[in-house]
Amino acid sequence: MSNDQITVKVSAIEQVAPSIREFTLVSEGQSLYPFSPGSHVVVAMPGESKTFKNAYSLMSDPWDTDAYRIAVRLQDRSRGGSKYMHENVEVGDELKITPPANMFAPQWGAKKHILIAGGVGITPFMSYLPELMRRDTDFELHYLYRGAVTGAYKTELSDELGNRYFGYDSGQSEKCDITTLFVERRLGTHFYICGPESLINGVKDLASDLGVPDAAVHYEEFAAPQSGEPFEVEIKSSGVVVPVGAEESMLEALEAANLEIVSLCRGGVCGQCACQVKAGEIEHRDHYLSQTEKLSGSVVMPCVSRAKSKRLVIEI
Amino acid sequence: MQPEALPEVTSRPVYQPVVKSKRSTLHLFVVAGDMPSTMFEIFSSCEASECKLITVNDTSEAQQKVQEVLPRLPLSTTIYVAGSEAFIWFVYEYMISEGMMPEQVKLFTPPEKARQVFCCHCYQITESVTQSPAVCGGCQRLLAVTDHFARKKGAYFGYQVNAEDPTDIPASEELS
Repeated sequence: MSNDQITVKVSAIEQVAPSIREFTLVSEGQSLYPFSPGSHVVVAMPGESKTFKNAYSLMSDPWDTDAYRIAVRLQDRSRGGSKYMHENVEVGDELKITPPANMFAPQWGAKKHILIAGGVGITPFMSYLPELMRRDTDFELHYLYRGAVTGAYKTELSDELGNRYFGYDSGQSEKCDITTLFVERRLGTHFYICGPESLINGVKDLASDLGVPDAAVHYEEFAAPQSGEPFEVEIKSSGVVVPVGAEESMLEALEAANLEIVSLCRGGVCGQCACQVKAGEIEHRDHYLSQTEKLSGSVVMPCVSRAKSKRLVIEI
Repeated sequence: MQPEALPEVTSRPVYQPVVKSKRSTLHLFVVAGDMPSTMFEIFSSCEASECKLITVNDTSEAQQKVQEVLPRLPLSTTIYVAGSEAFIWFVYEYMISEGMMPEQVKLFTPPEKARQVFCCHCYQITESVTQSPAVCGGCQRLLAVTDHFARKKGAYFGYQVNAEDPTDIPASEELS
């Protein structure tokens, strides 16, 4: 169940770049679950007014059940989650996490894997690499970063991967011409992108223009819910009305009101938290619902989407 | 005894009208038998430099000829396949195993209703079946031909229609 929790202890913290902190998490007295490459865990961070829940990719070897590692970038406009991880968490602290879940697994039928990482988007690929190498697959890693600010791990990756590693430091004006990544690729090549939305959209659009099949392009966004206008959400069956603040998501507000909603990715891609909408106008911000479903106005992903109207009536 | 009517079968392929993939840089046409007019329309709209035509008699010839061009096929290839139902699904499965995505493989409606039937008792495939029940070419059992389709085999599922009473031979029906 996605609402299960594991208690872990922070056994080490490393500042791998000025804005990126890496955490090693262990579970005392028992081993952790092995996981599949690309998995993430949701970390619960108790804040002053409410608990933040952010998904972070596991970057340790999927076979390593002694410890999990995650890396957290301090977001410029942190809503509380990454700020908490940077300012409040110390070695020895306990954290509650969900068991690993995966929305970004490698396509094992692929003939070749092209990994494209932007900054801290390198994290899911850190768990890909040991398994790609164990399976002796054909792959390349293209890592786009900005100098020391987001370029954690570049030296170790370059050493480990040799000629399969391609680094582009925008701080040194090293541009990655994405078009070249698609040229002369054999049938069965799959592309994986993780990084900021602008990178994902850029690569996706280019792939589409070049006739690369959509099904060969995979991506994972690190999208924290964006803020918006405050509104109210009403539960039709019980009549309960929950206010949603400008800086919180509908899902967070419902959880704070002790309404249990099953969720998984909390980023608008997995579809777990879908709620039926009975009245009100939705501002869809997810990547899960089809265009038809969005236009129908009868279903909403409360983890990222909001209301255009003053009140949204939903059923849970 | 007649087999009971089964609820709607979802595995039976539904062939949509094929449209040209505008963004593909190479259009590969693979045909066994006559080229359907709808395929000819797409074929003749391609520049000579962006298309390739492979005409064959059977699946093994198709595999051999496609294999020859495979290393030169770009990632943005679309393949258009016409022929019997068994033939087009053989090519489909082969291209998927070579790394193509389903959206890159376009299948034309087969010209005939004849089916390949997979016998669930002896695992043999009987070709060109137009009536149900049909005698299995492998074990001679009388098979009810269902609409359950296996893409991997390009065949419909068949099971013995009179296992309890071999003298009970149901009326023959034309397959649609």
